[in-house]
Amino acid sequence: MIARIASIAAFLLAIVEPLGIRAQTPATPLSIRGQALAIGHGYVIFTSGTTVRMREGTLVPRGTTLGSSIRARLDRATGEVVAIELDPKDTLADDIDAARVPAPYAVSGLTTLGASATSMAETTAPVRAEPVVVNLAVTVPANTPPNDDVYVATDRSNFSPSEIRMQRTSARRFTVSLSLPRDSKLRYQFTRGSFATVERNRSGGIVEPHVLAVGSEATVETIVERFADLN
Amino acid sequence: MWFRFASSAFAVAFIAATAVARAAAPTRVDVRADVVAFYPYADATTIAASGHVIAQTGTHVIRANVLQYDVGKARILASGDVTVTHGTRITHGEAYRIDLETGAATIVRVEPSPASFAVPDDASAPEVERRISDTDFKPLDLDGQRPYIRSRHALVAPGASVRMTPAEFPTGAGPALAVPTYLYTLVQNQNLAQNASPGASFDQPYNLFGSPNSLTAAHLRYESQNGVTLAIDNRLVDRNRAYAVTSLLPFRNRRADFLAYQQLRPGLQQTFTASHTFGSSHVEAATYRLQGTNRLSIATLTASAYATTNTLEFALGTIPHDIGHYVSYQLRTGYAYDHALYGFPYANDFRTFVGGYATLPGATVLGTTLNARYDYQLSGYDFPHQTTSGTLTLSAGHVFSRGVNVYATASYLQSANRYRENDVARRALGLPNPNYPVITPDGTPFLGYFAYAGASTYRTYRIESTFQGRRGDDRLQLTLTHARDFPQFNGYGRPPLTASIDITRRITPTIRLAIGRSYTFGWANRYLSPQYTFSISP
Repeated sequence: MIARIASIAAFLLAIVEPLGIRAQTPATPLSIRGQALAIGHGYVIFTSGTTVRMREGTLVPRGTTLGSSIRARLDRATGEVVAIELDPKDTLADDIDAARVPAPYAVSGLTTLGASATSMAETTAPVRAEPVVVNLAVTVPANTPPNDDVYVATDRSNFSPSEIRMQRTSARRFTVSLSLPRDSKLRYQFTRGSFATVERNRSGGIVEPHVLAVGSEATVETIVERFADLN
Repeated sequence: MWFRFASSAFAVAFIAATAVARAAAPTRVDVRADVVAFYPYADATTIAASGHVIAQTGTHVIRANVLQYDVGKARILASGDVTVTHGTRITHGEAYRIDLETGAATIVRVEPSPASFAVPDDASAPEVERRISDTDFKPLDLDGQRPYIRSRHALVAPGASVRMTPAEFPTGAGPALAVPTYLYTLVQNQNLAQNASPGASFDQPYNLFGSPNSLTAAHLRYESQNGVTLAIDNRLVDRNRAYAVTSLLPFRNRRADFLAYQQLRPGLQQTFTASHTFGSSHVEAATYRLQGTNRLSIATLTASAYATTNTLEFALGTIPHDIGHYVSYQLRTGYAYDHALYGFPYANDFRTFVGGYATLPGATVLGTTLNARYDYQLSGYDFPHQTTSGTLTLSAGHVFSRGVNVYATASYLQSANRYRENDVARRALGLPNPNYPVITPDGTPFLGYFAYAGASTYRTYRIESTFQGRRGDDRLQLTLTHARDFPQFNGYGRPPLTASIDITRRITPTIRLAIGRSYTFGWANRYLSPQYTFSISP
């Protein structure tokens, strides 16, 4: 019976709090997640522009800097941040995106606030670039010498012509797997180990590097029309 | 030599063309702080500074506790006790953002109450209160990411380079590598990686000066013949239309090299290479090539000089033509004039040649891809000499899993020398007389090609197996090569058996190590002959 009453009370609290109605009962701290823009002079400013007061003497974790991902615990009774956690790995059910902090707690007029609080589960959390394996496959021209290796030259090495040696699967086909950050871009070209043997277009002109927008795991097929040293 | 003048003229013409195409001088951005970290591999090329930051760009001086400079988007974010001095205007706040291209700036203050203001580029105009949006302040979260370079001072030429002074390269494995200064080029033109120097087992560039169209670098090199040596080179680029590279190896095997390429119009290119060796021996060489390509054919005019010999050659060929899937052919013919200054009895010669290749249809049997190819070349000289060569190459590739495969080739090369006037040709070419064989240093008589009726056969059997990690940077390759030649020379020519192993491993996020070792067996009375290759790259 007691548990049922408690759950009903929590449910009601969840309804009224986003509307800005302050509960009279002792409340759990508000948990705000976001990127730090500035912390000091009694305020925590998030990159969204949301600004909240910070209690004097609150410890700012060592290493907190511009752009750090933080969680600020705000005492609902005083409206002040009482604790800051750097780079929280977990997402709590009551985490609120810094852009959607309710008006009573967000003190600034820096930005237009969201009309209601939204739990982090309903918002898109910032995604740290995680590695994605991408498979590059290339078909080389028929006049490529049968025992020559093929390399990938990328902008990671400023196009060093023998950066990554590819794996030969047949006379004219090579592959290689690369681990790349998600949402990054890779510019690359194919060579046979030196710039004298870099790929060219069909008429012998310089080709722009291929651009790979790294999304999900994929295989990218490329056809080299010509190498610079082979007529 | 004629090519000296030609190379100078080519260089002057190229540099003039490049100078016209050069963009306006970029603005400098100077960042000083207790720590200035450079992240070229993050989501955007970024400089992150912390502790007593002073950034100067044009007439703006920004002081703050921390700062992020998105070099690609030309935006600066500063945070923590920010003071901005712009002409006579001095602005204080908690956070500040400026777009360097438009001059649009925003400052955030919490005193007397939290508010943000647009800061006009005109120092005499008043600030205007404005609300910020989600996109105004978007710093990168760099927690946990290792910078590529750490320093105390970064001088940025937007669109051209970042110079870090001093520069520390955190390796993630022990102490950082420190150098007095380092120049990182921001120019994404692959032609700035061109190299005119001869090949080396190890070549680590160290950039000295850079602009949007040029890069000057010193190189620490290791060559198997000359050991450790230094080189310096300069590259000029004109977008993707032209480039010129000049390199100098001032020590040991001293030489200078020049390489240039220019696309005159789509389908028409000219290239020029020249080298001058001034070490123990003086050798000069140069090659000019003009090549035109249309829908069906490729025409190439080549003029070359090497020491006392000169050649002018015209070649006409079809473009590689595919018929169906993997069936391909190409035909090529040409006419050339060769001149040897002190040639006797033939100082001048006209040469014709014809050749081509054809590949047979590829087939896949039980997961193994089979290919066959035949190459043929015939050259006839107007002095009594004719050479032919034909090569049949059979190959098979099998992929066992995503990272493991085997590739094998069998190659049969038949070459023949035919001398219409044997004795004259033998004397002209300086070949040994089969009646009086040359005794080689190891005591083996060398009869010369005439002993084999002018024909020889080179048979090569090669199998390689590659194991590749999922990341691509980690790789192991084993290669076994067996040569059965006729004649099979003892001590020179090709070794009968060669085994090699190549290992590539990324040992830290910024250092990739490649080591190779090969052995030759049963050749020149040596059981094995180890050879090493070694390289480090980002």
